Amino acid sequence: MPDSQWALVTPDAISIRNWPDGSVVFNARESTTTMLSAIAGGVVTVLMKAPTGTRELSAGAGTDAQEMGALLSALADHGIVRRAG
Amino acid sequence: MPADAVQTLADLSTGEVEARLHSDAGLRLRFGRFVAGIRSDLRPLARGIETLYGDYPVAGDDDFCDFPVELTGTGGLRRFVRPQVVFRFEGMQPFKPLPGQQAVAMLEWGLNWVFTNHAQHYLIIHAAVLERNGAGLIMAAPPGSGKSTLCAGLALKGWRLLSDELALVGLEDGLLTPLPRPISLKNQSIDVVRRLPGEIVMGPVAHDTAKGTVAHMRPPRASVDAALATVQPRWILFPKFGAGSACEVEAMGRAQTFMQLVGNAFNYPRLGATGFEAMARLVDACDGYTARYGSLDQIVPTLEALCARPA
Repeated sequence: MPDSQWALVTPDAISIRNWPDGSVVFNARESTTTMLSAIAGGVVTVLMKAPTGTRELSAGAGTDAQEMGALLSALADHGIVRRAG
Repeated sequence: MPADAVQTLADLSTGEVEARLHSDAGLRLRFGRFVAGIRSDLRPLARGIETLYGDYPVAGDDDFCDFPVELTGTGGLRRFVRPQVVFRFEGMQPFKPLPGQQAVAMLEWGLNWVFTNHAQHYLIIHAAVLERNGAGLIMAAPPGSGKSTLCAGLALKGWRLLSDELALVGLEDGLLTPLPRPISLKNQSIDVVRRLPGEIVMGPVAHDTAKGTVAHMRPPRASVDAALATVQPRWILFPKFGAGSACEVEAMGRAQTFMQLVGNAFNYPRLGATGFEAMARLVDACDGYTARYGSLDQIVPTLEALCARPA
């Protein structure tokens, strides 16, 4: 099964802070502030560096690929990430 | 008076206060780093200003005035029947006229509006701010949470009052800039505070305002005198008074604290990424807590113990 690549929708507009109880993402283009789980914040932090595949993201987060896929879909619904290939 | 002594409002005679209020420059008072010029022809307002602002330094007519405000009576028959008062700032009239007996309250609300909308070089959070042992406590809460009552209770226990209403967080240094002004008390809180030990001076009581009965407590002299000394923030508290409630203080994570503060920040959206960075720096510098309590007797000693812990 091919590994989907994911990227931030607006990488230049994203700022993030990660804390043990969760992460806060600011999107300067949309002027939105969103609280994420610590795992989701970790995914955004990785994607700020470069587009990344689902398998690598799930390995980094210590979750299975199915859980990571669901998380990425939720982040996509919020307009934070998109499929990059 | 020695040449280098600071002239305060209390050094002026009632006639001098009224003359300055009537002048083009207005009565210029220093609120920490800011100077407000107040013009008014309303004698009851002059009495209220003397009561609440006696310890404030008076600025000269040649000093730069950050915020020129004016409170006047409405004209026509209204001068004689149910007189009203109008607040203006640089020609703008942001509020509808209010009954004349609410003039002091209107001055306070008007100044809050002015500072909130025109001090954009700070991240401004709706919060009471106090200092203990050099560290700042920010108490953020929506109206009706008991924030001002708690603020008065702590100020009367010797905490330095930075503000009852606005946390001004420096965008560059993250420090809290004081803006000590009278503490706004509403309804039952007025009598609760009147019964507290300490030197309590209240301004006139305004009835039937949009917030109910309102009175303002004169800030402690020491807080006014220290109004130029910025403070490193250390604690963020979200207090909630509930009659009969037990006292419960719980730690709050920084992400949650951040989001709660965003909900209480006036200009966070306007500041964009600069506001996000300032808020993140603030949250990183502080421990966050929620507090439920049923009386000042419970929460004041709890906070004194909490804020006495080493960082």
